[in-house]
Amino acid sequence: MSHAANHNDALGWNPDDPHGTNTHAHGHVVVSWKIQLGVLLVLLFFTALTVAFYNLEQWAENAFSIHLPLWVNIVGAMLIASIKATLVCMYFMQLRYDKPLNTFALLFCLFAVGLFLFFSMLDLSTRGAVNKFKYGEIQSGGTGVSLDAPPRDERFDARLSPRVQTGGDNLINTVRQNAIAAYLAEHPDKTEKDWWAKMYAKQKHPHHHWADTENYFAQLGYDHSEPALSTSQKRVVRTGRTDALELAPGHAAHNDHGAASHNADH
Amino acid sequence: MSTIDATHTGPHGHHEGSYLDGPAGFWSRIAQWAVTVDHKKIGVMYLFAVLFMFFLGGVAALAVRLELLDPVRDVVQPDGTSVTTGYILQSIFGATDGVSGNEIYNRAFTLHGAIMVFMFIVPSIPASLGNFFLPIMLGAKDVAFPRLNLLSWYIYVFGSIFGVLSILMGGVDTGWTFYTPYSLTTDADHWRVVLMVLAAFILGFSSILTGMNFIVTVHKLRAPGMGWFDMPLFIWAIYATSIIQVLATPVIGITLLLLIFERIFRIGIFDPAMGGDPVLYQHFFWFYSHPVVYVMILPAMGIISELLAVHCRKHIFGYRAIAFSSLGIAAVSFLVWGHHMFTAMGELAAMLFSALTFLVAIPTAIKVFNWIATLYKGSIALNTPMLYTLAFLFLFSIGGLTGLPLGALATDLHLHDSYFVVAHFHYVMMGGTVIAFVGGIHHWWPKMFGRMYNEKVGMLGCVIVFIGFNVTFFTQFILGTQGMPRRYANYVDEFQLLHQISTVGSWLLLVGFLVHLFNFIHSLLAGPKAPPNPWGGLTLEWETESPPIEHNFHHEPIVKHGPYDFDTVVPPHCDPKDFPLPDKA
Amino acid sequence: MQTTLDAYDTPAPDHIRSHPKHWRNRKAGHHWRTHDEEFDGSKLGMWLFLTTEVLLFAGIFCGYAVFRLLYPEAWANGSHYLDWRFGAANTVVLLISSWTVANAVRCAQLNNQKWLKINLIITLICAALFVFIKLKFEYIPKLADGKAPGTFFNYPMAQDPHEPLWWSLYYVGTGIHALHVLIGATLLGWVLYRSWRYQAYGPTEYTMVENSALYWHLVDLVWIFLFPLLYLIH
Repeated sequence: MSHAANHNDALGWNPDDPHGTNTHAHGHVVVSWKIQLGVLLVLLFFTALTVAFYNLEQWAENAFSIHLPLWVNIVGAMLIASIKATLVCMYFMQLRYDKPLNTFALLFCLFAVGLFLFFSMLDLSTRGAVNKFKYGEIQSGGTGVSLDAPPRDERFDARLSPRVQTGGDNLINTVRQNAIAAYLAEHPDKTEKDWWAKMYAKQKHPHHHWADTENYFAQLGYDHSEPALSTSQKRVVRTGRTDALELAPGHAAHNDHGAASHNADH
Repeated sequence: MSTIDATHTGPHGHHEGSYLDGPAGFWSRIAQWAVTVDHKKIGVMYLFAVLFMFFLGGVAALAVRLELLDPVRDVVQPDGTSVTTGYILQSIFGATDGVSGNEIYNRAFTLHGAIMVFMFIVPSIPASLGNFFLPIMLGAKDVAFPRLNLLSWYIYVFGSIFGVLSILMGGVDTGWTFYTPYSLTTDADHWRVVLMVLAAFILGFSSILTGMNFIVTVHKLRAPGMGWFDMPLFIWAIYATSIIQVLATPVIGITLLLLIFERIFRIGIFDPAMGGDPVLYQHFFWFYSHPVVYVMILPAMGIISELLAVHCRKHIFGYRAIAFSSLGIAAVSFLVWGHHMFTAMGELAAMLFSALTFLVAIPTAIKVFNWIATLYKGSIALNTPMLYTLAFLFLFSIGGLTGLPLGALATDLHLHDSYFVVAHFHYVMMGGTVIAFVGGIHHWWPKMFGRMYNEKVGMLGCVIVFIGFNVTFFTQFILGTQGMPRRYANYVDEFQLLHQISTVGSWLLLVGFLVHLFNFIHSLLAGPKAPPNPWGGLTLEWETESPPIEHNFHHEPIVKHGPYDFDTVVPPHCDPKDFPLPDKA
Repeated sequence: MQTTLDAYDTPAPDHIRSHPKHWRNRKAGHHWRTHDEEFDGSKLGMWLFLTTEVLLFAGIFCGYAVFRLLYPEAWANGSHYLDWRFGAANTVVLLISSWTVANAVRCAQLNNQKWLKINLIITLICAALFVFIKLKFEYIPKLADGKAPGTFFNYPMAQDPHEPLWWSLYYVGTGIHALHVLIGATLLGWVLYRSWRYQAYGPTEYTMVENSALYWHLVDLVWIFLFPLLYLIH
C-alpha cells in the first residue's frame, strides 16, 4: 500500500525510535494560571448566583406570597449548574485544548444519559394515561395505595427491620405516635401538647423555609392524634393491578413472581 | 495482511518462542500464567473460564429440561391411594429444608439464566477470542492497558466465585432479572440473593475494563498503514460491542447496588410498599440488559464476517455496510429497552418503544443480506467453521424474525412471558452467539494452540448440535403459541409430547458439545501441528506463527492490503498454487 | 500558548535523579509506539472511564427525577430539611480543590515540583473538609433526628408519607458521591506520595497526575449537579 509511509508520519511513528524513548516532540498545552484563576472566580460567582436566586425566591414567597412557577426554580438552578459544569469540563479538564475524541466520548455519554432520563420519565409521567376505549377496565393499584395502608404487607411487621412495627397504621403516623409515647413515658407530667410545642420550637430553626410556618400546626391542631397528611400526591393513578397488596399476608410476597411456586403447591 | 517488512528490528526482534512456552515445572508455569499481562494468555484463561461457566449453566439447563420431561400428576394406584409423580429434580436432590420441587425448579432456571448471561455469554467472545485476536489483527503487541486486562480477568473470577458461592448456599429463585419486589422479599433470612446480585455487580467492572481497553486499543494501536476501513470486521464488531459495554454497564452497576441497598437497608426505591416503583427497576435493569443483548450478538456477527470471507475465499460483500451496521446496532440498542416491559409501561411509552424496536431490524438485515451475497459465487470450503457459519445464518434469521411479533404490541400481549419468547432469545443467543463462538473457536483453534483438530469429528459435532438445537427450541415456538408460559415447573398434559421432544433435543445438544470437547482434547494431546495459515486467511493473525510468538510479530507489520482482498493477494505462508488468483482478464 | 516544552529546567536532587521512577527516566510501555501515544491512550481510557461514572450517577439522577415527578410534596419538604449553607460550603470547597488540582497538573507540566506538592496537599485538605462537613453537619445530625432512609426513617415531624424515599435518594446519592471523594483523594494521595518520594511526575510523564485530576474534576462535576438538585430545587 503506497500510503503506508505517510501513515507512519501521521502516527508520529519513528522507525529509528520505535518506542518513543525520546521526549515529546511538540509538547502539550499548558493552561495559563490566569485562565484557571478566572474560571475559578466565575465558578464561585455562579455558585453565589444560584444561592442568591434561591433565597430571593424563598424570600419573595414568604414575605410577599409571590409564588413563582415551579419551572423557574428548576430551570434557573439547572441552567447555572450546566454552565458551571461546562466551564469545569472545558478549562479544568482541558477539553478545550484536548483531542476532540475525548469531548466526543463525553457528549455521547451525555446523550445516553438523556435517553435514559427521557424514556424513563416519559413512561412514569404518562403511565396513568390510557386510551379512552379502555376506561373502566383498568383498575388502579400499586404504590400510592399501598403506602397509605402498609400493614397489609407482612414485611413491615414480620421480617423487616425491628424499627418498623406499624401495627396497621401509616408509617409516618406510627413513627410520630411512637415518639409521642416515648416522650410521655419519659415526662409523666407533660401532655401531648407539650411534645408538639417542643417539636415546633425545634422546627423553628431559622434556616428552614417553611412556606406556611405560622399556620402549619394550627392546621394540624396541637392535639390532633392523626394529623392530616398531605393529599395532593397520596394516590398516584397507575394502570395495571398489584394484587399482591390486596391479598392477605402470606400470599403477598409471592404473587408478583412466583408463578412457578403457585401451581403445584396448591 | 502483508508480507513482513523488515523496517526495523525492535528490541524484541530476536528469535522468540511461542507464547505457550514457559518455565519448566507445573507450579512455576501456573505462577507465570497467574501474573501474565500477555493478552493471548489472558484470552486463553478467559476462554477456559467462560467455557467452564458454560458447562455449569448447561448443567442447570439440562436440569430444567429434565424437570419438564413430565408434568406433575396425582396417580391413583391400584390399591386406591394416590401418589404425586413428576417432581423429577426433587426426587434426585431430595426435598431438604422443605424446599418443594417447584422451588428447586425455580432455582435451576435462575442459575441457568444468571450464569449464562452474566458469567458466560457477556464475556464469552470479546474477552476470550477478542482478547486474543483483537491486538494481533490490529498488528499490535498487546492491548492498550495490559495490566487492566489481567485485573479484569481476576475481577471476573472473583465475581464468578460470588455467584458460585450463592449457588452452593442454595441458589436464587428470582429469575436472572432479579425483578422487584419479589427479589426484595424472597429468601429474606439468607445472603444468597445479595451474593448473586453482588456477583453480577462485580462482573460489570470486568466488562467495563475490557471494553475500555479495546476501544483505546483500536484507536491508538493499529499497525502502520491500517486505516479504519482496513480493519477486519471482527474488530469493528468488537469495537461497537465495547462502546455498549462502556456506556450500558455502569447503569446495571447502580441498579444492582440499589437492589443490594434495598435488601440490606430497605431503602424502598424499588419497593411498592414504601412508595417505590418496581417498574422503575425494570427501566434501570433493561437500560443495561437490552444493550447487552447486542454485547452478546455483535461479536458473534464479527466472527461470522471473518469466517464467511475466509472460508468462501471471497471479498466480503458490503464491507462498509457491515461495519457501519455494527455501529448502527450499538446506537439503536439504547433506544429499545422498553420492549421488555410492554405490559408494565404506560401506553404512550409502549407505543414509542415498539416503533423504535423495529429499527433494530434494519442494520441486522443489512448484515444478513451482505453475508448471503458474500456466499454467492464464493469457493465455499465446507469445513467445521463454515458449517457453523451456515448454521448461524439459518438460526439467527429465525431468531431475528421471531423477534418482530414480539416487538409488535398487539402480538406481544399474547406471546409475552411464553415459551415463544424463550425460543426466540435462545435462537438468537444460542443459535447466534454460541454457534458463532464455537465456529470461531474452530476457526482460530490452530492459531491459538498450534494444533489442528479433526475436521470430520468437528463436522459431526456441528451437525449434532444443529439438529439438537432445533429439536430443543423449535418445539418451544409451538409450545409458546399454544400458551405454555415460561418459568413454570408444571404444565397441562397436552403439552407433554412437545416438552419431551424438547428435552430429548437438550440431550442431543449435550452429545454434540461432548463430541467437540473430545475433539479439542484430542487435538491438544495428539493433533497434527498447525501451519501458520491453514485456511488462507489474509488478516494479520495468519501472518505470525501458530501459536503466535510472545510479542505477536517478529517485526511490526505494515499493512499493505485489505483484510479481504482474496482477489489480489496470495495469503501469507501459502502456496500460490493452492490459492490461485482469479484471472483478471 | 505555553506548552510543556517551556518547562523549568530545575534539576532533581542527586539521590532522585537516577531513580528509575523519576519522570526523566520513565519509558513508554513496550507495546506503544511513542510516549505521546501512550499518554493520549491513557487519557482516552480515563475519559471512557469517566463516562461510565457519569452513567452510574445517571441512575441516581433518574431516580431523583422520577420520584420528584411522582411525589413532588415529599421532594419539596425534603429539600427544605437540608440547609443550603452547608451545601454551598461544600460546593465552594470542591470548586477550590478542583482549581488546585488543575494547578497541580500545570505544575507537573512545567516541572514545578514544589507547587505540585503544595497544590495536591491543599486538594487533600479540601477533600477532608468536604467529608467533615458532610458528616458533622449533615449526616450525623440528620440521622440523630431520625431522618434516615427507607424503613429506618424515624422522624416524627414528617408531613408526607414518601419522605423516607427522599432520604433514601439523598443518602444513596451523596453517599456514593462521598465514596468517590474518598477514592479520588486516595488516588491524589498516591500521586503526592510518588512525587514526594521520586519526583515521579514532570513534563513528559504526568499521565497519572492528569488522570487523577480528571477523576477529581468528575467528583466536582457530580456535586455541581447534586447541590442544586438536593438543596435548591423545591
